[in-house]
Amino acid sequence: MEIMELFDESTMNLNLQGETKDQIIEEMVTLLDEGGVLADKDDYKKAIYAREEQSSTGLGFDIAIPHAKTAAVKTARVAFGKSDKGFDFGAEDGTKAHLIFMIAATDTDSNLHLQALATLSRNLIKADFRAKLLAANTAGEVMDVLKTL
Amino acid sequence: MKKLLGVTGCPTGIAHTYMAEEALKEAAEKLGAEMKVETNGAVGVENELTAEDIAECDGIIVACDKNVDMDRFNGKPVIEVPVSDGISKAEELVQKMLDGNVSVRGGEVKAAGSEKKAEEGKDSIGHQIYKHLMNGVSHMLPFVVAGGVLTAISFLWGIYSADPTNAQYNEIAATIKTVGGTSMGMMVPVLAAFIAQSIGDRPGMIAGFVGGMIANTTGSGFIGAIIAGFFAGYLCKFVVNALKGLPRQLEGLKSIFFIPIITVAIVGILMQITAGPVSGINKGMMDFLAGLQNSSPIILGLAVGCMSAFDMGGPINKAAYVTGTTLLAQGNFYFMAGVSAACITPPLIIALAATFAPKKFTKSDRAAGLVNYVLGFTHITEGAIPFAAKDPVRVLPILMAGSSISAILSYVMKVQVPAPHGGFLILPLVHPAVTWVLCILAGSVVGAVLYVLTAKDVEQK
Repeated sequence: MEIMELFDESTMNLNLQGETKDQIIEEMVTLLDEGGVLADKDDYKKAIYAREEQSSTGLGFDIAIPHAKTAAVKTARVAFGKSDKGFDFGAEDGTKAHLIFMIAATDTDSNLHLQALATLSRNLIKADFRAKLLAANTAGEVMDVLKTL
Repeated sequence: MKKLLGVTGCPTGIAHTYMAEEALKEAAEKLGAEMKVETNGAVGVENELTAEDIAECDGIIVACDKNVDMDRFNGKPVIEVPVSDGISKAEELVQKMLDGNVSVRGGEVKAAGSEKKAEEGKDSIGHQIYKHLMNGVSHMLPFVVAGGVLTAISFLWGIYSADPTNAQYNEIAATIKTVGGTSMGMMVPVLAAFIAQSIGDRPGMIAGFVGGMIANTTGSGFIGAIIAGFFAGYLCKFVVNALKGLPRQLEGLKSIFFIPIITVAIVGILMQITAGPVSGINKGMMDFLAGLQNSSPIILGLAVGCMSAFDMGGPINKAAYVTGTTLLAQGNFYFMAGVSAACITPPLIIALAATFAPKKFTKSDRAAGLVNYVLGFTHITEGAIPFAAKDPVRVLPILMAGSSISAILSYVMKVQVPAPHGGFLILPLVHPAVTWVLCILAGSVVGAVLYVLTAKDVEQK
């Protein structure tokens, strides 16, 4: 399945520490960088902030999906993060987010990857999909939930 | 059930676009409405809203942070919000639309929807035929230009350089000529194929190609290609329609098996049967045109000159040009000389006028006028358009007169131009080259003088 190519257990953190948007972004970007998918960590981070400036990707209903499509990315990857206590990601309704998908797409990504991202995004709207993710306790369990897409 | 439409999009186009799409669809389902969403994401526009969709819908929700064509929604209730609202407030938006207290988008109610539809429906038959024909011509021209220029280049070694029995024979020349000839040979099939494609899409192209190949080999030539193209196109449309009733499982088989076999067989057989009479007509027309250039070069030159300069690159100009290339493919190098001369003249008229009577031009026009030397030398008639557009009633007749003189002289002098494009770049191939240049200059000078005489001085600063 295409979607599974976008995830890897090494870029998942089910116990995020940060509480503010800046802390969480730092944590997630570092996760991607350590996973070896970034060509330039600072550039990628800048691109993430540039997107956040247009409008926050903290959408309410528990989810934040910061994303950037930039040459600073080596291979397409989606990092997954979860925080039980929640964190502020600038959602308009003021609620805290508990799930974060940080999307790294390359400048030249194939349609297949983009389609997979589209599928993922569509599913994030579905309440039962989010509930399953919230219930997952290990990276392996998250992978299992994703496999159902 | 109410029919709603949505448009979603965001600058990055990899996440929000699709989340909003899904959110709107879910909300609509929940509230009992039908919903189609156009996504403007990184993979391009998907599920594009058609004119019919828009005409039939009860309202459009545009949740988009990216520019999309909004004019098509004129006259319809439209809600415009950021893409994030499409995600987090989807239900609210759909409810609002269903309640009906949404203002109708102003602007001319041509609502791209209805306009497009009307256009498609009303599109005059003449215009449709023209459109299909031009689709064929525009695909054909590059083959002609490549083939013609390559063939012309081979003549650099001598006009008989490809003939092994001749003293001029040269292997390189022969190879280039073969390549050029092959490209030229594609023009009849390609013309038929893309006329048919314009009418009947891909299935049409297949039958059109085969019909065009047959026209090519049986000598029914261009007339045959045009017949094959239109017949194949409409036949495919009909067959595709007729096979609509087939079960879905046969869908794949239909497009690669049934439709090609049926349409190719019918078109091919028809082309074979009609080949005799049609090639007669084709030959008759070519002979008539070729005869005209001997018996009355003045009438022919006048016609070609006026056609070439009248709309400079538009359909009338192209009609003359295509006739020239057609005859060229059949070995008539005389006709093209007039067409080329007539196409080169208009920009040269402007350029000469700008050089010798700068007072008649504003500063920027003068610079543009000088650029016309380059455009003229390279057979780009379009260079004169801005000048003609400013004052068509005065300028167009002058350009037509100049072009006609160039064309008439070329025919009277029996100049041969073996390449369909390239302007003065192909001069080494033109025979006799100097005479041809003089013919063109004569027309251009007369035109330039007329232009200067009729133009008013421009105030200089």
